Amino acid sequence: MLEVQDLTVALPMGGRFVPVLAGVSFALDRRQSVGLVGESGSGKSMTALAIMGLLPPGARVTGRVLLDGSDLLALPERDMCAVRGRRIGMVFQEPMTALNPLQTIGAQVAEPLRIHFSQSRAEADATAARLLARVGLGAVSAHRYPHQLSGGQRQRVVIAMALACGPDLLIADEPTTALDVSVQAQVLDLLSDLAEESGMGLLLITHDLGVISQTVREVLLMYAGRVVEQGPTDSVFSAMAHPYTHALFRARPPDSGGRPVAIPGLVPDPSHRPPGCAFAPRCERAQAVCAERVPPLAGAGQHRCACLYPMGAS
Amino acid sequence: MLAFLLRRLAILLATLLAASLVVFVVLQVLPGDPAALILGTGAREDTLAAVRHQLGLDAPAWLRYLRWLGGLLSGNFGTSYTYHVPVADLVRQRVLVSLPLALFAIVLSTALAIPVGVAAAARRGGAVDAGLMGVAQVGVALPNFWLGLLLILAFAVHLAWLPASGFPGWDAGVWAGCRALILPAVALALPQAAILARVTRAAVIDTLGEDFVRTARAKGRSRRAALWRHAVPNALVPVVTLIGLQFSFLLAGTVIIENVFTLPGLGRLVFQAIAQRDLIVVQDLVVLLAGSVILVNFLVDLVAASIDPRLRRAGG
Amino acid sequence: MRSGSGSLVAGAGISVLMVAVALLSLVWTPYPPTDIDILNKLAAPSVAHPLGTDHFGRDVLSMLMAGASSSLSVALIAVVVGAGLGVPLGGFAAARGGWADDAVMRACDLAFAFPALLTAVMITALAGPGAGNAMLAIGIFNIPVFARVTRAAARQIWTRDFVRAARVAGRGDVGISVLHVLPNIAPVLLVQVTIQFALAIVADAGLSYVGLGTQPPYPSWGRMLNDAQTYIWRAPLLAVFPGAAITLAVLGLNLLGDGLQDLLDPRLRRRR
Repeated sequence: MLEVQDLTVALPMGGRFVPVLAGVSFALDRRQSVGLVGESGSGKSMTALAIMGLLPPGARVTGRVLLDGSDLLALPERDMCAVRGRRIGMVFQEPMTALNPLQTIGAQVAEPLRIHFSQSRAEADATAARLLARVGLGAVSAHRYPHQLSGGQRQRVVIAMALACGPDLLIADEPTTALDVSVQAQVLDLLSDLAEESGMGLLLITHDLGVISQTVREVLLMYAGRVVEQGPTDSVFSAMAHPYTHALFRARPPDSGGRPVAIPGLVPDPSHRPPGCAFAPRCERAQAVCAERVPPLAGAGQHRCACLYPMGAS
Repeated sequence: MLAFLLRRLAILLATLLAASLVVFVVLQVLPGDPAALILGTGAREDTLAAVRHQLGLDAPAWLRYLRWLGGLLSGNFGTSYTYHVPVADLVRQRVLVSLPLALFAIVLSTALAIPVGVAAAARRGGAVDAGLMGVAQVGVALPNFWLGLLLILAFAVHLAWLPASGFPGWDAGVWAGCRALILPAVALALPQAAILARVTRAAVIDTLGEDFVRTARAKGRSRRAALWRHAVPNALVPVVTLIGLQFSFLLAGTVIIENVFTLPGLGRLVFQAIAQRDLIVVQDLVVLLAGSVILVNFLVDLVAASIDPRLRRAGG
Repeated sequence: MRSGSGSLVAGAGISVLMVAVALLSLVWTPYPPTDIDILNKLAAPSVAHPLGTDHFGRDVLSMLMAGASSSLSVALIAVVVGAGLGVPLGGFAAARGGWADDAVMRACDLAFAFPALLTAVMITALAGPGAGNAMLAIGIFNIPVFARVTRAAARQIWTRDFVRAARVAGRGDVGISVLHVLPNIAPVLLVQVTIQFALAIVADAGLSYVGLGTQPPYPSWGRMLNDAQTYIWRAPLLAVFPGAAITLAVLGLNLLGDGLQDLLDPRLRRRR
């Protein structure tokens, strides 16, 4: 359904073009869930924005983003507006500021219906009420305003808005990061349930490995604008190949207590990326050749890794 | 919502009362002897006493205040010392000039400023933005009475399209009256429009950067729809507040412009009354004008709360 | 839009020019601004009189220069009065909070209800026209403006940790206000000063136009405009120059204020 091919994005910054995404490729089908994992600066949010066509003006984009065969990047803006909200829904990170403070939640959920299906106000409101109930806000009146809701509730509204037109793909960019821990699980469950139920594809973007392991079947790890490892979640988690993935795991507070191990060094500034493998300066296993060229994604089968010296090999 | 309204109303009334007290104290109590103020120094004692008695100025201050207040509330504004006609009549005549002028100017100003401000914000950083804001920067610096003179120079002296001064009265016809108000309205409106455009631009730029605008785009709204349906309404509260302030200014602050165009408005009435030491007119008018400022502020608060539900909390 | 540095330079340049002209006029002008020369009245601009002469034959350029000094001095005193009283008032309100804060703010609200221009007219007319009373009348209206701006800015500083630390160390309200709060709100206040200065110039011009500001024979831009209006059919240029001077002065101050705002305090930096 969705095929991203060699997506490369550069943004104008201070007179130059800074690469933020390089050669990102993956595919996602209906009923499939894929996770994009990385720290801030890895380019994961940029990938979502590029798919949605919401990059800042002046961005240079190459590659293709095929939605059921048609390249979204080649679409004129007017046609892209017809895709956003209708074929692809998006949930953003900050629920506290994602909603228009002046409109009722019912009106905001109804808005995509009025845009794409030209529904009358009454019809749209009725559908919106059903959607709000479906995301667990049945007890909250549709005439409420965002400032009267909690963060978790607002995020549910955002999810309802994203799903209103029954999209084929739902992109969720850090949907739970800004929420309390207790609420995070609820929202994640909601997302997977909804995805299952409607048969849509789910692209989940996060920096939290725990979220990934619970929710998605396939995972892509991103570092400095490139995909460094990808494969089925079970496979990747049990047999981590890329040193970055391994380091990321060790950096999590372990469930069994004990201390996380921080990854030495910092994520490189996009305008000053080192030649060759971007992770090499921080990698325990790096050799001289790692700084010479960017390792391609390689590996047999579905689990692939962009490293010349992957873990589990000598 | 009701609690909010009641609280606002209470503040309104309290402020009005305080304003009336301040005016009374400043004009009648502080100068010591209002009669001396009216008649000027050098008046003879028996004349002063006669005037005091005639105008009820020999009563104690608090009593005079209450009488005055009572009069105001019942529509009896007293009688002008100079013209010996009810102040209410004078006010009514002048309001018929000042109010249309103010409305004319505020409509012009808003109709010009908001599209300009939104356009500049939407094309921020570009040539259109720089050009519009450059013009606005100069517009803000123009004194409105000088602009009035320039307009007279251009349209009355050179082109002779419009009258250079005076007001023929509405009896001479609606169009004749309006003609006399065009130049003063434009002189008042342009500098205000410049300020309003800058504020609108800043407010819209702020809201364009907000997350919910991105959400609107993600729902399928075009850039233009996201701008007008989501960003602009959120930018309106500071804009509406400013429009309210400008309107108050237009009602009460036009004394100079009225002098430029020789318009028989409220500003000139106060001005002449001050010169003629017609205290009762000055008192009444200042309270009326202060009252209208307070009232407009109240209305602006209501409008703001109707736009932005977050402002409806009782504490606000 | 990188207007910040441009505004600052242009604004500072114009303002400095104005001040220089004003100061210069105290010791020298091409002609004495009060010199009457009836034979030469309403002359068009020429080499001898670059901006022409008025209805009394006085040199317009000299009058403009002298007018600069009277405008700027009235505006200066008005702002000093306003800030001198308003800033401590606002600082006090921010430091004390509670009922003191409420009282000061309510008083400001009340002051704002009175139309400034009208009340300035009233004060000067009743107290007697003249530059001194104009300074006072305009200054009075600056007080609540400075009080409000000071209080708003100071309140934010009072919540900061380093102020709490100073409290714990034993400093009193006044000490903290002067040593810690004031330096931090100085940029905001400076910007406000430029705004109020510009407004004061316009207010003074307005008052002079109706005869309530600087009295003859001292020249003032506002009165020049009034005189010019009488002769607008015969000598239209007379109406242009004084107004242009006022506009330029205000423009310079506005640009300066904008530039300062962009420069001095990154938190104040509005996305222009």
